[in-house]
Amino acid sequence: MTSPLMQVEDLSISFKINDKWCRAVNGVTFDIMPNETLCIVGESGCGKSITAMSLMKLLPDTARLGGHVRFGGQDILSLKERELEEIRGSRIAMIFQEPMTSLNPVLTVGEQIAEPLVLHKGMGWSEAKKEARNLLDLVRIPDAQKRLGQYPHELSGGMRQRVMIAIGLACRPQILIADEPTTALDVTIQAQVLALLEDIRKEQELSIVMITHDLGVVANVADRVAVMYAGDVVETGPVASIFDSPSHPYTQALLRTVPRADAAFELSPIEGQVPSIQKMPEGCRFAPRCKEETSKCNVTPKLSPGAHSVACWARGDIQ
Amino acid sequence: MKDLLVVEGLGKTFGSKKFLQAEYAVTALRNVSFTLGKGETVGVVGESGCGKSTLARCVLDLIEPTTGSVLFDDTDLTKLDAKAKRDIRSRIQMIFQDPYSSLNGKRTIGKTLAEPLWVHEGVKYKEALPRIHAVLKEVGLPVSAADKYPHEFSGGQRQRIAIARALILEPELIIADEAVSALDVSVQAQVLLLMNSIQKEHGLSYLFITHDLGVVRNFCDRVLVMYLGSVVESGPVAELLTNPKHPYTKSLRDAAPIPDISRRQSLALLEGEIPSPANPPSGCAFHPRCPRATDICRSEAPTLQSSDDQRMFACHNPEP
Ligand SMILES: Nc1ncnc2c1ncn2[C@@H]1O[C@H](COP(=O)(O)OP(=O)(O)OP(=O)(O)O)[C@@H](O)[C@H]1O
Ligand SMILES: [Mg+2]
Repeated sequence: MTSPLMQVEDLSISFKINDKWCRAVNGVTFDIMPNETLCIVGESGCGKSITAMSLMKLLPDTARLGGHVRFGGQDILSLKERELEEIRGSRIAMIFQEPMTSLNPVLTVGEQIAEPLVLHKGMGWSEAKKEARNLLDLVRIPDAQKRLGQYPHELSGGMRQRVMIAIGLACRPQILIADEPTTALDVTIQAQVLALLEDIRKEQELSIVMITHDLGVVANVADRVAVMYAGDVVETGPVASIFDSPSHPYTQALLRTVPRADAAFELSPIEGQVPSIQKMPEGCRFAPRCKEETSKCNVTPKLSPGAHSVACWARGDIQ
Repeated sequence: MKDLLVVEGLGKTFGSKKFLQAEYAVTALRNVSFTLGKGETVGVVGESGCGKSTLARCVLDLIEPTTGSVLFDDTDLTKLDAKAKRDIRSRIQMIFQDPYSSLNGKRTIGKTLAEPLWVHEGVKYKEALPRIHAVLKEVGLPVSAADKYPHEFSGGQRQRIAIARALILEPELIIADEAVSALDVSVQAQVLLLMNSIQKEHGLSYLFITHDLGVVRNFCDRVLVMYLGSVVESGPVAELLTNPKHPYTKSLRDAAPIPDISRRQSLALLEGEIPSPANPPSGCAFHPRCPRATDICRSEAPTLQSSDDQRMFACHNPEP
């Protein structure tokens, strides 16, 4: 059996709001395997982005972190800023939803792609610029030579996202974290970018952690899935198993709320809304919206063992 | 079904008169025609920049079209004087995408809901209260919401408030521009079902602008597919999505990811990007991206033709 590239263990993230610590992420555990796409899916505010940021310890000082993020024999969460700098962008890279805000508007595309190579790989600028050209080819940007000299505002949203991917891949990282990389794009452009990421993952033997709220995207790109609700991973497993036999009441309900383009079917909403981190319910955080709530649900359920695991008192085999 | 809305030859070119001669004129909307029946929902889909919102704004008379007419209940909205316009405007309402910026943060929900009643009917707040309470209940909010401010509500609740504001004058037509796009799916389903039940109750018509074919499939009766300012295909939703005639419709459908593992596929790839409306391609605007394009497509713009019953499409080489 291959061993995980990264192990996230009992990760918790709290923020101090009005003098009270609020647990936004409530002790989540998952592995990232080599050369796979792991999708973290969930609705707005359920903690996907801060979970992703904490894999590189990128959270503001106001956040309190607990648990472990094991990677390459180290615990990322206990590393010093200087050690983190060496890992970020080099062995673990991240791309975001809105490339316009994460690209530097006054630097050319070429300069921005070359920068991490100069910083992390000790390349000279002219060598780095050459490599930047190769990277634009890798992300299939036509007319690469011309694009190198352009500024972000001269590019379309889809092209900007390709540039972000090129920057992310510059130092050949082992893990690429992509936070809603296609959410701001039109569907046809989204399809292009997803296909590109998939091709690159295979070519480069990369692991991708894809954060998304779109179950359609998950079904099409994931190898494994972690479903998050209100700061908990409530279900995780291989993608086929999650979609063929969803187990957690939240996963089941969520799948019934997505309108599908290929068939008309009865939408059934989940009543209520995701709780705010200041008002998290005790125990299972989904219980107040759950149709299968039991008397045990005021205690937080743990994920069951096994490849496809679920954290729910109404689902038998859990402690 | 009697048509509530008849749009004919609607076009909109942005740019000053001086600009019109220069190359800066941008045609955002080109010769768009469609009808909307009483109690019907017509969807408008297409990628960003295809003219969906310009179409909505022309219908609502927020901007003046360059060509064409908008008949609402047999009255041409483009030919009315200011007063007549205001009267008829109470019968057409709009809901926008962003439930955060479309409500005035300094006003209570009650005051926001009272405003259209004051503007159109001269009704004062106190007298308006029973109607405000009724409409809040109708959208599933407690009457106590009237005394609260927008920031006290979630995105889904704010969109309910926006629906309440649109409903309070009992309009016949609601134009929804990406009204559920910013919502989480669980809440989106709540709002869609609410809009459905309100439609049944009041016999409302919706013009529903969205980029989401899943929403179209499950919420609309008919749909217009737009590309670079023109309608490229239209028809009843189920037929159009099952058997698209225009290659663009087919590409859009095949690019929409379906949450079903048995449908996992490399999402069919449409190459390239939507061109700038300031510099549209010759012939059929879609030809540079079209897998079925032939010589004629590069030189001649196809016109809308009807295949059967209610299907229309503009393509020289339609899908079989
Ligand atoms: N710096 C911060 N201070 C306080 N609370 C924060 C901070 N950053 C995030 N949060 C809170 O933590 C929770 C999780 O946020 P996160 O951004 O991870 O959600 P998400 O799942 O990525 O949502 P979305 O789909 O909207 O991007 C939210 O309730 C958010 O308000
Ligand atoms: Mg996020």
